[in-house]
Amino acid sequence: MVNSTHEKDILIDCKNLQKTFYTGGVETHALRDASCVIRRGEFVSIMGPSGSGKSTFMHLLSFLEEPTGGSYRFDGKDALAFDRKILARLRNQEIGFIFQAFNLLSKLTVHDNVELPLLYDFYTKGFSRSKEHKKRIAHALESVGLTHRAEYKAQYLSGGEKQRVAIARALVNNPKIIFADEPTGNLDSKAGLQVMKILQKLSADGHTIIMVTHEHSTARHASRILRLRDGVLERDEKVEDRLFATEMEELK
Amino acid sequence: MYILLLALKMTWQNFAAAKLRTFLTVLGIIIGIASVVVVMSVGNSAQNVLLDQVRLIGSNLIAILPGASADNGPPAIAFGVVSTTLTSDDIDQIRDKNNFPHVLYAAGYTSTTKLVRYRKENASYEIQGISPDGINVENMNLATGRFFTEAENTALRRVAVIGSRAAGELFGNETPEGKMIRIGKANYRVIGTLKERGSSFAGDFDETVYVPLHTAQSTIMGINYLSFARIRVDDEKNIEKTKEDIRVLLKSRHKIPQSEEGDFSVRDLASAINILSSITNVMKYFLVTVASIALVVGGIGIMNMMLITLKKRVREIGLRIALGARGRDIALQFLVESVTISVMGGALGSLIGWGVAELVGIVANSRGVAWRVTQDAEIFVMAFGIAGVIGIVFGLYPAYKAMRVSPMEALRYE
Ligand SMILES: Nc1ncnc2c1ncn2[C@@H]1O[C@H](COP(=O)(O)OP(=O)(O)OP(=O)(O)O)[C@@H](O)[C@H]1O
Ligand SMILES: [Mg+2]
Repeated sequence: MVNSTHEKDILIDCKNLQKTFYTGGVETHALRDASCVIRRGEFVSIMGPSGSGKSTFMHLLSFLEEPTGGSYRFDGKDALAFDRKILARLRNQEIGFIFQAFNLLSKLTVHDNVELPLLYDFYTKGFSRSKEHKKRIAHALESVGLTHRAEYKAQYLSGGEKQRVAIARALVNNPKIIFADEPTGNLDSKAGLQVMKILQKLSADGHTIIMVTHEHSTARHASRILRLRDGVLERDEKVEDRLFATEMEELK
Repeated sequence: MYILLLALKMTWQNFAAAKLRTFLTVLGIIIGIASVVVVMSVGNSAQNVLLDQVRLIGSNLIAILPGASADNGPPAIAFGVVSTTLTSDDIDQIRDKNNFPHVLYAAGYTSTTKLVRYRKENASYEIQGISPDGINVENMNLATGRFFTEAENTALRRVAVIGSRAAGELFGNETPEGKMIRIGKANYRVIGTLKERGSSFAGDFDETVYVPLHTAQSTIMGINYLSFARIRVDDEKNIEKTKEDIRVLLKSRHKIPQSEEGDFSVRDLASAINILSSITNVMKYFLVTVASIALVVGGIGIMNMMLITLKKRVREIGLRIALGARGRDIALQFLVESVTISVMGGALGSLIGWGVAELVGIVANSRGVAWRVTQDAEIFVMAFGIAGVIGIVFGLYPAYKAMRVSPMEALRYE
């Protein structure tokens, strides 16, 4: 599978990606060399010790930061040439983010938080737009089992519920790819497993998922693991003993 | 349109979260706009009062003021110079139809304030010595009785014609004609009363007691010169020529070479009004400038608040950008917010300014000034316009900074 050559299957293709920070005259080579190909529908974990450049790598892949070297093709196009307008569209339509700190707007309700990306959906046209949006919000909330919490203020939710809201928000625009940086990092193991179950479900539905984690057990829920050490992408392996969070108790 | 609604909604949410800070920020705008409205409104009212005066007195009037002064500058008396050079003989010459064909009436004036008494009633009134022609120069109308004659003037007869309010105050329901009143140390016979006339910047006509010019000069004041003279010409278009003829005449009578400046100034009411108007205009724009400073300070306050808002919400903004908000969506949100604050301040300021202008009108009216409060719609349009422009101008920089926020900000400050 890793060696497949079907061009249009390839979503991400990066070669020798580099990121060097210059702060206060000090150079930090956060990412020295990362090359990989990720196809549509893959569930990839990025692993490595703290400071190895996992987050940096993901920020480059998700256009949050620009690389200082190397090349990056996204969906067949040169990603380094994307302008602000294209990036706004990509972020809104093709990418979903899940952050370690959830990043919900605490004063808004669950519903309004999930709606947030749709507010910036200037691309779905026509009369059915708001109807379509309603449907998507309902579907997203259902996918994470939070329909009954729709009118709750985000600040009153538990950590696990918050992260599920964040997942609902990430998938409400039906993105091609979901980026998650330590999505279980602030959760206990049970809530973490719930999140993994949802991510695996999304993966099964055909979403591409790239997840940063430093826990081996979490990483093994993915189908493939990229290992970083000191900013270098060292190993790229298929997960043989993949874990499935399916036998977890039903979500409440 | 949809983006605008979105921005408005967010603006509302943000205000609700920081009511006091928002209010303090708009205080500068409120004060500034209120000042602009007050200044413009009061200024316009004042100018209208002046125009009312012109209509009341007529525009075919010439005034001669004693003492050298520029014809459109303040009179010599304003600098404390009492000039004794203008006499009633000068005015008699001007009344000569052969030399001044356009002059209808000419009157000399002298005035003072004296205690006037009728039986137990007494009060201080303006006493004006005036030529018999004065009734026509001033367009005064008699309510009862008659005005004094040239013969009474020459004979220094002690007769008086009194203004309507003075008559009411002194006589109540009694008939004033034929009654004797005491002005200073002498008794005067009332021969007529005037119809109500209103007041002007020159004084309250209805509280004035008129006596023959010569009587006033010799009996009350003990002088032989005039405070000023007024001349009514047949038509406004002959004012300039008549003014010039008066200058020539007076210079030769006062033995001043024609090439030199006279010891008097000749003015017409229209230009006097213009001078007053231009003075109030200068005042108005000076005060508007002062108010603008308050507005700029208010604008800087808004800018400051928006920059603080940006700092506090940078994570949220980063998140919104990460979720697909475009630079212009964020910038618009900031602009809508700053304009909303500013226009709200403008609305409140307009309201306060409007109230103050009405109050000025009430106070002026209670002081007997025929003040009409003018609340021109343009003033409020202008006030809102200014507020909006300030919101935009001082919102631009924060808006620009907000649209450049990196989506990475969503991940920082954890
Ligand atoms: N904005 C930045 N400026 C300067 N140095 C940075 C910046 N971001 C990251 N670095 C440095 O780059 C290196 C890699 O950081 P990165 O956040 O990618 O590590 P990580 O693998 O995600 O670590 P962790 O598991 O602790 O999250 C670190 O040494 C970090 O200090
Ligand atoms: Mg990290």
